[in-house]
Amino acid sequence: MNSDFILIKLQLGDKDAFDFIFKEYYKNLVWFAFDFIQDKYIAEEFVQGVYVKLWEEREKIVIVTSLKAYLYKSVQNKCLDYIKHGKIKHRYEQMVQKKASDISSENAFFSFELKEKIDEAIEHLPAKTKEIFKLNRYGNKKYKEIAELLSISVKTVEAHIGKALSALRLELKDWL
Amino acid sequence: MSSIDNNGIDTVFYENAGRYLSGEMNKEQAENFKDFCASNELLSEELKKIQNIWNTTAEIGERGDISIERALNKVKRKVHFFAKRNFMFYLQKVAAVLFIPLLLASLLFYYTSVPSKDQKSVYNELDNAYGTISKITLPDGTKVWLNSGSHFKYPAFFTGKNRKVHLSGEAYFEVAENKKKPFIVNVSDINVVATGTVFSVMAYDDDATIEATLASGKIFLAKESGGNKLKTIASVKPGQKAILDKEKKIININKANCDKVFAWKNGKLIFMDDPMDVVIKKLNRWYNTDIILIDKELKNYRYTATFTDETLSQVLELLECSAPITYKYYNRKKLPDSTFSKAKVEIRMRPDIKRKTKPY
Repeated sequence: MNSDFILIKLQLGDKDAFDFIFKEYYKNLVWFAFDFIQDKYIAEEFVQGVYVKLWEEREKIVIVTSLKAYLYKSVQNKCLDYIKHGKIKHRYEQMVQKKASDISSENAFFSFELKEKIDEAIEHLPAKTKEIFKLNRYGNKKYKEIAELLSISVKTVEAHIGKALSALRLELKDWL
Repeated sequence: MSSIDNNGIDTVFYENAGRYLSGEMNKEQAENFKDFCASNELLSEELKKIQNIWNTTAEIGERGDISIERALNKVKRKVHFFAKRNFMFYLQKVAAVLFIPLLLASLLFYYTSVPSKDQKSVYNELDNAYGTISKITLPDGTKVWLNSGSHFKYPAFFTGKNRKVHLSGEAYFEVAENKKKPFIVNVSDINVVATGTVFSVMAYDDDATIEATLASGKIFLAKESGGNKLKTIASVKPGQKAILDKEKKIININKANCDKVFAWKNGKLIFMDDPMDVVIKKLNRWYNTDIILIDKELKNYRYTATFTDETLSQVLELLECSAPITYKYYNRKKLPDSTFSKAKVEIRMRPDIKRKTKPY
Protein backbone atom coordinates (compact mmCIF):
# COMPACT_ATOMS: atom_id res chain seq x y z
CA MET A 1 0.00 0.00 0.00
CA ASN A 2 1.34 3.38 -0.98
CA SER A 3 1.72 5.43 2.17
CA ASP A 4 1.53 8.71 0.23
CA PHE A 5 -2.19 8.43 -0.15
CA ILE A 6 -2.80 6.54 3.04
CA LEU A 7 -4.28 9.55 4.79
CA ILE A 8 -6.62 10.35 1.92
CA LYS A 9 -7.66 6.72 1.70
CA LEU A 10 -8.32 6.70 5.41
CA GLN A 11 -10.38 9.86 5.20
CA LEU A 12 -12.44 8.28 2.45
CA GLY A 13 -13.14 5.42 4.84
CA ASP A 14 -10.85 2.80 3.32
CA LYS A 15 -10.67 0.02 5.92
CA ASP A 16 -7.53 -1.51 4.45
CA ALA A 17 -5.81 1.83 4.93
CA PHE A 18 -6.82 1.75 8.60
CA ASP A 19 -5.48 -1.79 8.97
CA PHE A 20 -2.22 -0.73 7.38
CA ILE A 21 -1.82 2.27 9.68
CA PHE A 22 -2.66 0.13 12.68
CA LYS A 23 -0.17 -2.60 11.89
CA GLU A 24 2.50 -0.13 10.92
CA TYR A 25 2.53 1.94 14.11
CA TYR A 26 0.58 0.18 16.84
CA LYS A 27 3.37 -1.77 18.52
CA ASN A 28 5.85 1.06 18.62
CA LEU A 29 3.20 3.47 19.86
CA VAL A 30 2.44 1.11 22.73
CA TRP A 31 6.10 0.88 23.70
CA PHE A 32 6.35 4.63 23.39
CA ALA A 33 3.45 5.05 25.82
CA PHE A 34 4.88 2.33 28.02
CA ASP A 35 8.05 4.37 28.49
CA PHE A 36 5.94 7.12 30.05
CA ILE A 37 3.49 5.24 32.17
CA GLN A 38 5.13 1.86 32.77
CA ASP A 39 1.86 -0.02 32.43
CA LYS A 40 1.39 -2.14 29.36
CA TYR A 41 -2.37 -2.51 29.77
CA ILE A 42 -2.98 1.24 30.04
CA ALA A 43 -0.49 1.92 27.27
CA GLU A 44 -2.46 -0.37 24.96
CA GLU A 45 -5.73 1.25 26.02
CA PHE A 46 -4.39 4.71 25.23
CA VAL A 47 -3.04 3.78 21.84
CA GLN A 48 -6.27 1.98 20.96
CA GLY A 49 -8.16 5.10 22.01
CA VAL A 50 -6.06 7.18 19.63
CA TYR A 51 -6.89 4.75 16.81
CA VAL A 52 -10.59 4.79 17.67
CA LYS A 53 -10.52 8.58 17.44
CA LEU A 54 -8.54 8.43 14.21
CA TRP A 55 -11.22 6.28 12.60
CA GLU A 56 -14.26 8.01 14.00
CA GLU A 57 -13.03 11.50 13.28
CA ARG A 58 -11.09 10.72 10.15
CA GLU A 59 -13.05 13.24 8.13
CA LYS A 60 -12.53 16.06 10.59
CA ILE A 61 -8.93 15.57 11.62
CA VAL A 62 -6.56 18.09 10.12
CA ILE A 63 -3.01 16.76 9.96
CA VAL A 64 -0.38 19.26 8.97
CA THR A 65 2.81 17.33 9.69
CA SER A 66 2.67 13.62 9.13
CA LEU A 67 0.38 10.84 10.20
CA LYS A 68 3.20 9.34 12.25
CA ALA A 69 3.89 12.61 14.05
CA TYR A 70 0.19 13.03 14.69
CA LEU A 71 -0.13 9.55 16.22
CA TYR A 72 2.92 9.96 18.46
CA LYS A 73 1.85 13.40 19.57
CA SER A 74 -1.65 12.16 20.39
CA VAL A 75 -0.30 9.25 22.43
CA GLN A 76 2.15 11.53 24.21
CA ASN A 77 -0.61 14.00 25.10
CA LYS A 78 -2.72 11.19 26.52
CA CYS A 79 0.16 9.95 28.64
CA LEU A 80 1.06 13.40 29.93
CA ASP A 81 -2.58 14.07 30.76
CA TYR A 82 -2.71 10.82 32.63
CA ILE A 83 0.42 11.65 34.59
CA LYS A 84 -0.77 15.18 35.30
CA HIS A 85 -4.10 14.00 36.61
CA GLY A 86 -2.34 11.93 39.18
CA LYS A 87 -3.95 8.70 38.17
CA ILE A 88 -0.58 7.04 38.09
CA LYS A 89 0.15 4.43 40.68
CA HIS A 90 2.32 5.54 43.52
CA ARG A 91 5.16 3.11 42.93
CA TYR A 92 5.86 4.60 39.52
CA GLU A 93 5.46 8.19 40.56
CA GLN A 94 9.06 9.19 40.94
CA MET A 95 10.23 7.36 37.90
CA VAL A 96 7.54 8.87 35.76
CA GLN A 97 8.02 12.39 37.02
CA LYS A 98 11.63 12.15 36.07
CA LYS A 99 10.65 10.92 32.62
CA ALA A 100 8.00 13.58 32.20
CA SER A 101 10.39 16.31 33.21
CA ASP A 102 12.95 15.49 30.57
CA ILE A 103 10.42 14.70 27.93
CA SER A 104 11.44 17.67 25.89
CA SER A 105 15.06 16.69 26.08
CA GLU A 106 16.15 14.14 23.58
CA ASN A 107 16.91 11.50 26.17
CA ALA A 108 13.42 10.10 26.53
CA PHE A 109 13.01 9.79 22.81
CA PHE A 110 16.47 8.40 22.41
CA SER A 111 15.85 5.62 24.91
CA PHE A 112 12.60 4.77 23.15
CA GLU A 113 14.12 4.93 19.72
CA LEU A 114 17.11 2.84 20.76
CA LYS A 115 14.74 0.09 21.86
CA GLU A 116 12.94 0.38 18.57
CA LYS A 117 16.23 0.09 16.66
CA ILE A 118 17.49 -2.85 18.71
CA ASP A 119 14.17 -4.61 18.30
CA GLU A 120 14.44 -4.11 14.57
CA ALA A 121 18.10 -5.19 14.42
CA ILE A 122 17.30 -8.40 16.30
CA GLU A 123 14.65 -9.19 13.71
CA HIS A 124 17.34 -8.88 11.03
CA LEU A 125 19.56 -11.58 12.57
CA PRO A 126 19.79 -14.96 10.84
CA ALA A 127 16.97 -17.24 12.00
CA LYS A 128 19.01 -19.58 14.19
CA THR A 129 21.05 -16.78 15.76
CA LYS A 130 17.87 -14.83 16.44
CA GLU A 131 16.20 -17.82 18.08
CA ILE A 132 19.16 -18.49 20.36
CA PHE A 133 19.67 -14.82 21.22
CA LYS A 134 15.99 -14.40 22.09
CA LEU A 135 15.96 -17.55 24.21
CA ASN A 136 18.83 -16.10 26.21
CA ARG A 137 17.76 -12.48 26.41
CA TYR A 138 13.97 -12.75 26.55
CA GLY A 139 13.57 -16.32 27.77
CA ASN A 140 16.28 -15.98 30.44
CA LYS A 141 17.69 -19.36 29.44
CA LYS A 142 21.22 -20.45 30.33
CA TYR A 143 23.54 -21.54 27.50
CA LYS A 144 23.30 -25.13 28.69
CA GLU A 145 19.50 -25.04 28.68
CA ILE A 146 19.46 -23.62 25.17
CA ALA A 147 21.94 -26.29 24.01
CA GLU A 148 19.74 -29.07 25.40
CA LEU A 149 16.57 -27.55 24.03
CA LEU A 150 17.93 -27.28 20.51
CA SER A 151 20.19 -30.39 20.66
CA ILE A 152 23.34 -28.41 19.90
CA SER A 153 26.60 -27.92 21.78
CA VAL A 154 27.19 -25.15 24.32
CA LYS A 155 30.05 -24.03 22.08
CA THR A 156 27.59 -23.45 19.23
CA VAL A 157 25.39 -21.38 21.55
CA GLU A 158 28.43 -19.28 22.49
CA ALA A 159 29.23 -18.74 18.83
CA HIS A 160 25.65 -17.65 18.03
CA ILE A 161 25.44 -15.22 20.93
CA GLY A 162 28.81 -13.75 19.92
CA LYS A 163 27.66 -13.51 16.33
CA ALA A 164 24.45 -11.78 17.44
CA LEU A 165 26.30 -9.17 19.52
CA SER A 166 28.76 -8.50 16.75
CA ALA A 167 25.97 -8.10 14.18
CA LEU A 168 23.92 -5.85 16.47
CA ARG A 169 26.91 -3.63 17.10
CA LEU A 170 27.50 -3.33 13.38
CA GLU A 171 23.89 -2.43 12.62
CA LEU A 172 23.66 0.02 15.51
CA LYS A 173 27.01 1.67 14.96
CA ASP A 174 25.37 5.03 14.23
CA TRP A 175 23.31 4.78 17.38
CA LEU A 176 25.85 3.96 20.04
CA MET B 1 40.52 -19.58 14.79
CA SER B 2 39.61 -15.97 15.37
CA SER B 3 38.40 -14.02 12.39
CA ILE B 4 38.39 -10.24 12.16
CA ASP B 5 35.11 -8.32 12.59
CA ASN B 6 33.91 -4.85 13.70
CA ASN B 7 36.74 -2.33 13.99
CA GLY B 8 39.15 -5.15 13.71
CA ILE B 9 37.82 -6.77 16.89
CA ASP B 10 37.71 -10.54 16.50
CA THR B 11 34.65 -12.71 16.99
CA VAL B 12 36.13 -14.39 20.06
CA PHE B 13 35.81 -11.07 21.87
CA TYR B 14 32.05 -10.98 21.18
CA GLU B 15 31.67 -14.59 22.28
CA ASN B 16 33.50 -13.81 25.50
CA ALA B 17 31.48 -10.65 26.00
CA GLY B 18 28.29 -12.69 25.65
CA ARG B 19 29.48 -15.25 28.16
CA TYR B 20 30.64 -12.51 30.51
CA LEU B 21 27.41 -10.54 30.41
CA SER B 22 25.13 -13.55 30.73
CA GLY B 23 27.07 -14.89 33.69
CA GLU B 24 28.31 -17.97 31.90
CA MET B 25 31.91 -17.33 33.06
CA ASN B 26 33.19 -18.43 36.42
CA LYS B 27 34.58 -15.79 38.77
CA GLU B 28 38.15 -16.16 37.61
CA GLN B 29 37.28 -16.06 33.92
CA ALA B 30 35.13 -12.96 34.47
CA GLU B 31 37.93 -11.16 36.33
CA ASN B 32 40.38 -12.02 33.58
CA PHE B 33 38.05 -10.79 30.86
CA LYS B 34 37.39 -7.53 32.71
CA ASP B 35 41.10 -6.90 33.19
CA PHE B 36 41.78 -7.79 29.59
CA CYS B 37 39.22 -5.19 28.39
CA ALA B 38 40.40 -2.53 30.82
CA SER B 39 43.90 -2.75 29.37
CA ASN B 40 42.68 -1.70 25.92
CA GLU B 41 40.74 1.52 25.29
CA LEU B 42 39.08 0.24 22.12
CA LEU B 43 37.90 -2.93 23.82
CA SER B 44 36.65 -1.28 27.01
CA GLU B 45 34.69 1.20 24.87
CA GLU B 46 33.25 -1.68 22.85
CA LEU B 47 32.28 -3.60 25.97
CA LYS B 48 30.37 -0.57 27.27
CA LYS B 49 28.38 -0.38 24.07
CA ILE B 50 27.61 -4.08 24.10
CA GLN B 51 26.56 -3.72 27.72
CA ASN B 52 24.15 -0.96 26.64
CA ILE B 53 22.60 -3.24 24.01
CA TRP B 54 22.51 -6.06 26.54
CA ASN B 55 20.68 -3.98 29.15
CA THR B 56 18.26 -2.57 26.61
CA THR B 57 17.36 -6.07 25.42
CA ALA B 58 16.65 -6.92 29.05
CA GLU B 59 14.17 -4.01 29.15
CA ILE B 60 12.63 -5.15 25.90
CA GLY B 61 12.36 -8.67 27.30
CA GLU B 62 10.74 -7.42 30.47
CA ARG B 63 7.94 -5.56 28.75
CA GLY B 64 7.03 -8.74 26.88
CA ASP B 65 5.17 -8.93 23.61
CA ILE B 66 1.83 -7.59 22.44
CA SER B 67 -0.62 -8.92 19.93
CA ILE B 68 -1.36 -6.46 17.15
CA GLU B 69 -4.14 -8.60 15.70
CA ARG B 70 -5.99 -8.83 19.00
CA ALA B 71 -5.69 -5.09 19.55
CA LEU B 72 -6.88 -4.36 16.01
CA ASN B 73 -9.96 -6.51 16.48
CA LYS B 74 -10.70 -4.79 19.76
CA VAL B 75 -10.50 -1.36 18.12
CA LYS B 76 -12.67 -2.50 15.23
CA ARG B 77 -15.34 -3.72 17.61
CA LYS B 78 -15.24 -0.39 19.43
CA VAL B 79 -15.80 1.70 16.34
CA HIS B 80 -18.42 -0.63 14.82
CA PHE B 81 -16.01 -1.03 12.00
CA PHE B 82 -18.04 -3.72 10.36
CA ALA B 83 -21.44 -2.11 10.78
CA LYS B 84 -20.68 1.37 9.53
CA ARG B 85 -20.42 1.27 5.82
CA ASN B 86 -19.70 4.48 4.17
CA PHE B 87 -20.27 5.21 0.57
CA MET B 88 -16.79 4.48 -0.78
CA PHE B 89 -16.72 1.07 0.86
CA TYR B 90 -20.20 0.34 -0.37
CA LEU B 91 -19.28 1.49 -3.84
CA GLN B 92 -16.26 -0.78 -4.00
CA LYS B 93 -18.13 -3.80 -2.80
CA VAL B 94 -21.06 -3.47 -5.13
CA ALA B 95 -19.34 -1.83 -8.07
CA ALA B 96 -19.46 -5.03 -10.04
CA VAL B 97 -23.15 -5.53 -9.36
CA LEU B 98 -24.06 -1.92 -9.96
CA PHE B 99 -22.08 -1.51 -13.09
CA ILE B 100 -24.47 -3.13 -15.55
CA PRO B 101 -27.69 -1.42 -14.38
CA LEU B 102 -25.79 1.85 -14.12
CA LEU B 103 -24.55 1.47 -17.64
CA LEU B 104 -28.03 0.65 -18.87
CA ALA B 105 -29.50 3.55 -16.96
CA SER B 106 -27.02 6.00 -18.34
CA LEU B 107 -27.54 4.67 -21.85
CA LEU B 108 -31.27 5.04 -21.51
CA PHE B 109 -31.12 8.38 -19.85
CA TYR B 110 -30.17 11.22 -22.13
CA TYR B 111 -31.53 14.65 -22.60
CA THR B 112 -33.70 15.41 -25.56
CA SER B 113 -35.22 18.79 -26.07
CA VAL B 114 -38.68 17.50 -26.92
CA PRO B 115 -41.03 19.91 -25.18
CA SER B 116 -43.72 18.28 -23.12
CA LYS B 117 -47.08 18.56 -24.79
CA ASP B 118 -49.34 20.73 -22.75
CA GLN B 119 -52.71 19.41 -22.04
CA LYS B 120 -55.37 21.88 -23.07
CA SER B 121 -56.75 22.79 -19.71
CA VAL B 122 -56.66 25.49 -17.10
CA TYR B 123 -53.67 25.40 -14.80
CA ASN B 124 -53.28 26.55 -11.27
CA GLU B 125 -49.83 27.78 -10.34
CA LEU B 126 -48.42 28.14 -6.90
CA ASP B 127 -45.23 29.86 -5.77
CA ASN B 128 -44.28 28.99 -2.25
CA ALA B 129 -42.44 31.74 -0.39
CA TYR B 130 -39.23 30.97 1.46
CA GLY B 131 -39.73 29.72 4.95
CA THR B 132 -43.24 28.50 4.34
CA ILE B 133 -44.78 25.12 3.72
CA SER B 134 -48.17 24.82 2.06
CA LYS B 135 -50.59 21.98 1.77
CA ILE B 136 -52.94 21.61 -1.19
CA THR B 137 -55.51 19.03 -2.14
CA LEU B 138 -55.68 18.34 -5.85
CA PRO B 139 -58.96 17.71 -7.72
CA ASP B 140 -58.47 13.92 -7.51
CA GLY B 141 -57.99 13.99 -3.75
CA THR B 142 -54.19 13.74 -3.86
CA LYS B 143 -52.57 15.69 -1.05
CA VAL B 144 -49.48 17.74 -1.74
CA TRP B 145 -47.15 19.48 0.69
CA LEU B 146 -44.92 22.10 -0.88
CA ASN B 147 -41.62 23.02 0.68
CA SER B 148 -40.14 26.47 0.95
CA GLY B 149 -39.15 28.13 -2.33
CA SER B 150 -40.99 25.69 -4.59
CA HIS B 151 -43.04 26.23 -7.70
CA PHE B 152 -45.96 23.92 -8.43
CA LYS B 153 -48.33 23.79 -11.41
CA TYR B 154 -51.38 21.54 -11.72
CA PRO B 155 -54.51 21.42 -13.88
CA ALA B 156 -57.88 22.49 -12.49
CA PHE B 157 -59.23 19.14 -13.72
CA PHE B 158 -57.42 15.97 -14.59
CA THR B 159 -58.91 15.30 -18.01
CA GLY B 160 -56.35 13.22 -19.91
CA LYS B 161 -55.16 9.65 -19.50
CA ASN B 162 -52.95 10.62 -16.63
CA ARG B 163 -52.68 13.10 -13.80
CA LYS B 164 -49.73 15.28 -14.61
CA VAL B 165 -48.35 18.02 -12.38
CA HIS B 166 -45.18 20.13 -12.71
CA LEU B 167 -42.69 20.80 -9.98
CA SER B 168 -39.58 22.84 -9.38
CA GLY B 169 -38.51 22.59 -5.76
CA GLU B 170 -39.52 20.02 -3.19
CA ALA B 171 -42.88 18.40 -2.61
CA TYR B 172 -44.36 15.50 -0.71
CA PHE B 173 -47.25 13.57 -2.26
CA GLU B 174 -49.94 11.32 -0.87
CA VAL B 175 -51.43 10.14 -4.12
CA ALA B 176 -55.10 9.14 -4.26
CA GLU B 177 -55.23 5.66 -5.76
CA ASN B 178 -56.33 5.38 -9.35
CA LYS B 179 -54.60 2.64 -11.31
CA LYS B 180 -56.13 3.74 -14.59
CA LYS B 181 -54.79 7.24 -14.37
CA PRO B 182 -51.17 7.29 -13.23
CA PHE B 183 -50.05 10.29 -11.29
CA ILE B 184 -47.07 11.99 -12.91
CA VAL B 185 -44.78 14.58 -11.40
CA ASN B 186 -42.94 16.29 -14.18
CA VAL B 187 -39.55 17.82 -13.46
CA SER B 188 -37.94 19.24 -16.59
CA ASP B 189 -37.85 16.19 -18.85
CA ILE B 190 -38.03 13.60 -16.09
CA ASN B 191 -41.29 12.16 -14.86
CA VAL B 192 -41.94 10.47 -11.60
CA VAL B 193 -44.81 8.08 -12.18
CA ALA B 194 -47.02 6.71 -9.41
CA THR B 195 -50.43 5.12 -9.01
CA GLY B 196 -51.27 5.26 -5.33
CA THR B 197 -48.27 5.96 -3.17
CA VAL B 198 -46.55 8.23 -0.71
CA PHE B 199 -43.38 9.80 -1.97
CA SER B 200 -41.44 13.01 -2.22
CA VAL B 201 -39.54 14.71 -5.00
CA MET B 202 -36.78 17.19 -4.53
CA ALA B 203 -35.84 19.05 -7.67
CA TYR B 204 -34.67 22.58 -7.05
CA ASP B 205 -33.37 24.25 -10.18
CA ASP B 206 -30.06 25.10 -8.54
CA ASP B 207 -29.43 21.54 -7.36
CA ALA B 208 -27.22 19.21 -9.33
CA THR B 209 -29.55 16.32 -8.64
CA ILE B 210 -33.19 15.34 -8.69
CA GLU B 211 -34.19 13.09 -5.82
CA ALA B 212 -37.28 10.92 -5.47
CA THR B 213 -37.88 9.13 -2.20
CA LEU B 214 -40.56 6.51 -1.72
CA ALA B 215 -42.31 5.64 1.53
CA SER B 216 -44.85 3.12 0.26
CA GLY B 217 -46.20 1.72 -3.00
CA LYS B 218 -44.13 2.00 -6.12
CA ILE B 219 -42.78 4.76 -8.31
CA PHE B 220 -40.94 4.85 -11.60
CA LEU B 221 -38.70 7.41 -13.13
CA ALA B 222 -39.50 7.81 -16.77
CA LYS B 223 -38.57 9.86 -19.76
CA GLU B 224 -40.88 10.94 -22.53
CA SER B 225 -40.08 9.11 -25.71
CA GLY B 226 -42.30 10.70 -28.36
CA GLY B 227 -45.99 10.20 -28.91
CA ASN B 228 -46.73 10.92 -25.26
CA LYS B 229 -45.21 7.54 -24.38
CA LEU B 230 -43.09 7.10 -21.31
CA LYS B 231 -39.97 5.02 -21.09
CA THR B 232 -39.11 3.73 -17.64
CA ILE B 233 -35.51 4.39 -16.67
CA ALA B 234 -35.61 3.33 -13.04
CA SER B 235 -37.98 1.93 -10.47
CA VAL B 236 -37.84 2.77 -6.80
CA LYS B 237 -38.90 0.52 -3.94
CA PRO B 238 -40.23 1.67 -0.55
CA GLY B 239 -37.45 3.01 1.65
CA GLN B 240 -35.32 3.83 -1.35
CA LYS B 241 -34.21 7.07 -2.86
CA ALA B 242 -33.39 7.60 -6.52
CA ILE B 243 -30.79 10.27 -7.08
CA LEU B 244 -30.47 11.48 -10.60
CA ASP B 245 -27.39 13.44 -11.52
CA LYS B 246 -28.54 16.08 -13.98
CA GLU B 247 -25.16 16.60 -15.54
CA LYS B 248 -23.70 13.11 -15.55
CA LYS B 249 -27.09 11.70 -16.43
CA ILE B 250 -26.81 8.74 -14.15
CA ILE B 251 -29.15 7.38 -11.54
CA ASN B 252 -28.20 5.98 -8.17
CA ILE B 253 -30.68 4.10 -6.05
CA ASN B 254 -29.81 4.32 -2.37
CA LYS B 255 -31.41 3.41 0.90
CA ALA B 256 -33.30 6.37 2.36
CA ASN B 257 -34.21 7.47 5.84
CA CYS B 258 -37.82 8.47 5.08
CA ASP B 259 -38.42 10.17 8.43
CA LYS B 260 -35.53 12.44 7.71
CA VAL B 261 -36.37 13.08 4.07
CA PHE B 262 -39.99 13.93 4.88
CA ALA B 263 -39.33 15.88 8.08
CA TRP B 264 -39.70 19.30 6.46
CA LYS B 265 -43.38 18.51 5.88
CA ASN B 266 -43.92 18.63 9.64
CA GLY B 267 -42.00 21.85 9.93
CA LYS B 268 -38.80 20.16 11.01
CA LEU B 269 -35.36 20.64 9.65
CA ILE B 270 -33.42 17.47 10.39
CA PHE B 271 -29.73 16.97 9.83
CA MET B 272 -28.19 13.60 10.45
CA ASP B 273 -24.51 13.37 9.77
CA ASP B 274 -24.98 15.72 6.84
CA PRO B 275 -22.02 17.58 5.38
CA MET B 276 -21.95 21.28 6.15
CA ASP B 277 -22.55 22.37 2.56
CA VAL B 278 -25.83 20.45 2.51
CA VAL B 279 -26.78 21.96 5.88
CA ILE B 280 -26.08 25.46 4.59
CA LYS B 281 -28.05 24.89 1.40
CA LYS B 282 -31.10 23.75 3.35
CA LEU B 283 -30.84 26.63 5.81
CA ASN B 284 -30.65 29.06 2.90
CA ARG B 285 -33.90 27.70 1.51
CA TRP B 286 -35.57 27.58 4.87
CA TYR B 287 -34.70 31.12 5.92
CA ASN B 288 -34.24 32.77 2.51
CA THR B 289 -30.70 33.78 3.38
CA ASP B 290 -27.36 33.82 1.71
CA ILE B 291 -25.14 31.80 4.05
CA ILE B 292 -21.65 31.26 2.70
CA LEU B 293 -18.95 28.86 3.89
CA ILE B 294 -15.69 30.76 3.82
CA ASP B 295 -13.36 27.98 5.00
CA LYS B 296 -13.73 25.20 2.50
CA GLU B 297 -12.47 22.54 4.90
CA LEU B 298 -15.77 22.98 6.74
CA LYS B 299 -17.58 21.58 3.72
CA ASN B 300 -17.09 18.03 4.88
CA TYR B 301 -17.73 18.65 8.55
CA ARG B 302 -20.71 16.49 9.45
CA TYR B 303 -23.52 17.91 11.47
CA THR B 304 -26.53 16.46 13.27
CA ALA B 305 -29.39 18.57 14.62
CA THR B 306 -33.14 19.09 14.47
CA PHE B 307 -34.69 22.53 14.15
CA THR B 308 -38.37 23.38 14.39
CA ASP B 309 -39.39 26.90 15.32
CA GLU B 310 -35.96 28.43 15.78
CA THR B 311 -35.20 31.78 14.25
CA LEU B 312 -32.19 32.17 12.00
CA SER B 313 -30.12 33.78 14.75
CA GLN B 314 -31.00 30.97 17.17
CA VAL B 315 -29.94 28.41 14.59
CA LEU B 316 -26.68 30.23 13.98
CA GLU B 317 -25.99 30.42 17.69
CA LEU B 318 -26.67 26.72 18.08
CA LEU B 319 -24.37 25.99 15.19
CA GLU B 320 -21.66 28.05 16.80
CA CYS B 321 -22.00 26.12 20.05
CA SER B 322 -22.05 22.68 18.52
CA ALA B 323 -19.81 22.93 15.48
CA PRO B 324 -16.32 24.41 15.15
CA ILE B 325 -17.54 27.59 13.50
CA THR B 326 -18.00 31.30 13.98
CA TYR B 327 -20.35 33.45 11.94
CA LYS B 328 -20.75 37.03 10.88
CA TYR B 329 -24.21 38.37 10.08
CA TYR B 330 -24.80 41.17 7.58
CA ASN B 331 -28.17 42.89 7.60
CA ARG B 332 -30.39 42.98 4.55
CA LYS B 333 -29.72 45.89 2.24
CA LYS B 334 -32.35 48.01 0.59
CA LEU B 335 -31.94 47.78 -3.16
CA PRO B 336 -32.65 50.60 -5.66
CA ASP B 337 -35.98 49.04 -6.60
CA SER B 338 -37.13 49.23 -2.96
CA THR B 339 -36.80 45.49 -2.44
CA PHE B 340 -34.37 44.00 0.03
CA SER B 341 -31.39 41.78 -0.62
CA LYS B 342 -31.12 38.51 1.27
CA ALA B 343 -29.46 38.64 4.65
CA LYS B 344 -25.86 37.51 4.28
CA VAL B 345 -24.04 35.26 6.74
CA GLU B 346 -20.40 34.27 6.52
CA ILE B 347 -19.32 31.09 8.28
CA ARG B 348 -15.71 30.44 9.17
CA MET B 349 -13.86 27.75 11.06
CA ARG B 350 -13.28 28.76 14.66
CA PRO B 351 -9.65 29.88 14.97
CA ASP B 352 -8.97 28.04 18.24
CA ILE B 353 -10.29 24.79 16.78
CA LYS B 354 -8.14 25.28 13.75
CA ARG B 355 -5.12 25.41 15.95
CA LYS B 356 -6.23 22.60 18.20
CA THR B 357 -6.68 20.00 15.50
CA LYS B 358 -3.16 20.55 14.26
CA PRO B 359 -0.74 18.42 16.26
CA TYR B 360 2.10 20.91 16.18
